[in-house]
Amino acid sequence: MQVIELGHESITDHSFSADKSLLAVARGNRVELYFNTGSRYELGTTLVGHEKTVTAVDINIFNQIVTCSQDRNALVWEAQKDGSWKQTLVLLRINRAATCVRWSPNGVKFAVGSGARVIAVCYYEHDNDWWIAKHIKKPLKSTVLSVAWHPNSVLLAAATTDGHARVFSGYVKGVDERPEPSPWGERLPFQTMCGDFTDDSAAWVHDVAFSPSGDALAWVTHDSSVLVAYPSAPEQPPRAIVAIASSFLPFSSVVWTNETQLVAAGYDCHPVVFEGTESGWTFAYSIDDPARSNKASEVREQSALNMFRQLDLKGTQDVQTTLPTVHQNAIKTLRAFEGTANVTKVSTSGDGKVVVFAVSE
Amino acid sequence: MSSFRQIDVDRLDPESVVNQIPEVAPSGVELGDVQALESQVKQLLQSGKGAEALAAALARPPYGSSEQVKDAQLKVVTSVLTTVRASEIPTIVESLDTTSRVVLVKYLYKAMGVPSGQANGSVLLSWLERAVEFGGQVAIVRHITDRRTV
Repeated sequence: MQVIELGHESITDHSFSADKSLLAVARGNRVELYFNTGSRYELGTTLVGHEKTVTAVDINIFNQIVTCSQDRNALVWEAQKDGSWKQTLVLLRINRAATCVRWSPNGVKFAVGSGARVIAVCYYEHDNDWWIAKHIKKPLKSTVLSVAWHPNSVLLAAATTDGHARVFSGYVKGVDERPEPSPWGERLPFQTMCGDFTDDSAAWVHDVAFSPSGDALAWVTHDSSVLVAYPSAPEQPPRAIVAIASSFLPFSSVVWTNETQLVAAGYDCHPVVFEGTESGWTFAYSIDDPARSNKASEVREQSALNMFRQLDLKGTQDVQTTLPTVHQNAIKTLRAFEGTANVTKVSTSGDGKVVVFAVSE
Repeated sequence: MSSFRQIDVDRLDPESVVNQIPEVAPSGVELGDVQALESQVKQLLQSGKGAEALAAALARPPYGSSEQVKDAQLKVVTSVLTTVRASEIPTIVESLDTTSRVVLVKYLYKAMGVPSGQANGSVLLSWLERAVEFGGQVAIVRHITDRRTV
């Protein structure tokens, strides 16, 4: 486990570059870039360009950084030879906050989710030196909280507050090659909906993720469930939808580590591992398990008055000031750190630190 | 707060769907079902089978039914909750399955919101305490999140 302490201000999103030399952290209305000096991550540049809270940041394989913000804009940042960063504004044409952004795995497109019930799929047009946004609108009825790309860089999954996890085609003519047929579909013009999943409680969906092969989709909802769908064939109902009703507080982020294992993290402040197949999924173990933590809970020194006040209000005289977990607040973002088809490490952020956890028990 | 934030943009947007809540699939519970349930529960309570009575009362929550049906079922559930002896509460809650425990929490919150339930507030709170003890805080989270109300 590696804990990167970055102060106290909360972190809305973080992203490592592919070679782990760069860590981008979104906090407030700025993005801080930390460079790996070998022993630690040191603050290099701060990207200032957004007027309001930066909601997401992502680095692609070409080390371009995309950020999006509640000011309804997305910015693409490119490193210049002199070490400065050049920003390019992307006109998203949305009338609400941008909530999430992710580069496609091939690094040429990115998708921005927003409160305007729209997903903007953006790509670069060389002729005009300009990023163009195409909208996926239908049938989104609510804020998009998260987007995730299929490994083929064409299919796009979206998590929305109307309780649906959906899969769309983000195929852009001239940018993408025609994808191989998959269980999700064969012909995939832009905005085709290839999957639409919900469960009975219709709780809002925090995050979605494709499995490493792309042939399964997992999503986490605010009623503490983790759901996994296995598509069968285009236009057909899925082979299986497996729901895990966990006994943890809701998860806000999920990643697959391999085809039979996924990690989720959220309001319980530590990552949780689930394992299973089409026939069923179960809770496997907790990473940074608070029940097995040897961190003594610190007890604040207190006056007699305070002690009796605590006894009166809470029925206990101990005031616990820290959680037994590494993270002292909800985990907002969970990302794969090492490996793609078999992820061995994940990174998490939320409170003022970024932590790299080994997935193994 | 700057002034633009106070404009209700949804009123200016003809496509806005802010008030469209997804439909809840009705469970088809009618007033007759609740009356049958009431007599069944009464019998079970009289023969001292508190656990069976509660399980029966929680088995078919009236999702999507009319307010009249919901109120009738609430009365049935509250009658079980207040009749059972306090010492039996932990064993009964433990015997419920996960789904029923969430339904129980939904009824506890609903009962605490009406005057007849508030009269039995301390009993309801001891049920809630047990429900959270066995089901975890997630039982409350599920109650808050679920669009299917009892």
